[in-house]
Amino acid sequence: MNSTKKITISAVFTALAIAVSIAESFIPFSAIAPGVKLGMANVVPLTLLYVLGPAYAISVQAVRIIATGLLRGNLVTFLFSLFGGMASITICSLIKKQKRVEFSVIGLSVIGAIVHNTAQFFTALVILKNINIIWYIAILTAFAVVAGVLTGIITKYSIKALEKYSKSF
Amino acid sequence: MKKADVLLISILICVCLIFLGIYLFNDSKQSDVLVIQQGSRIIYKESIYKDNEIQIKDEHGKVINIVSVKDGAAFMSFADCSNKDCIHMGELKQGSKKQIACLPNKVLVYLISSESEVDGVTR
Repeated sequence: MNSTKKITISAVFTALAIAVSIAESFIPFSAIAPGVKLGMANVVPLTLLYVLGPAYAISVQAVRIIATGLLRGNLVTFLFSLFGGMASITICSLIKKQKRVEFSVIGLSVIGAIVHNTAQFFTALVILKNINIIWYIAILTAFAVVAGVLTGIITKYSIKALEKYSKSF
Repeated sequence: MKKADVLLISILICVCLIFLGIYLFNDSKQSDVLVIQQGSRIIYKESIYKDNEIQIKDEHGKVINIVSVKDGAAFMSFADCSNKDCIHMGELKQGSKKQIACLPNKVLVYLISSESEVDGVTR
């Protein structure tokens, strides 16, 4: 794949990720437990990690977070998605790079979800300085495993589709 | 899925169950003092049985959250944020272990025990 194609795919996927981020905020997952999210927007960087490599995945994630942050939310919500999102994709890239333990897309997606949660927990800890919020994070972590498996399955199909598509021209 | 995936997911489920177990068996029936925290600062500390309506303001004096205390139950009745998660977090009653959090506004509402005068929760 030449770099023009790579950049074009990244641009389309960044737009897709922003749209998905915003669309997802209209689904009331909070009815299950406050703060619960499927994290569909993380399908995009994870797909790019497999198809285009870590540099593209991390850049797309950064642009998505900044753009979504400018479109909605306040400084605190921006910091939450920044630390959560960047930690998640960076750790996923590193884990995919090492060859000692090999995870499938689903495993990597679960790791991404857990890292996302943990980074947000530490952000909340710095803001609130109250260790008791760890209980709520434990509950959210249980949901993160489920969400990670679901987005992992979606990512698996989206990698297949993108690879097939990128070979077709 | 690979072997490593199954192992990872199993470990995570076990960790969650352990946490949940500790959480459920960690008795705190005595907790009846409502504490509201904004950032790392405690702005309200009164008995849960004292009816009140606490307005939480940001640095410009704009009301960002309202916590209502009525008949021994506290709940978030207003939030200016977009997702309104905190309003959906329900009520706190004596012994409640859960917390109501409005992270965009850096607000945390929880109960502590009236017996421990020293605040062991907040560092």
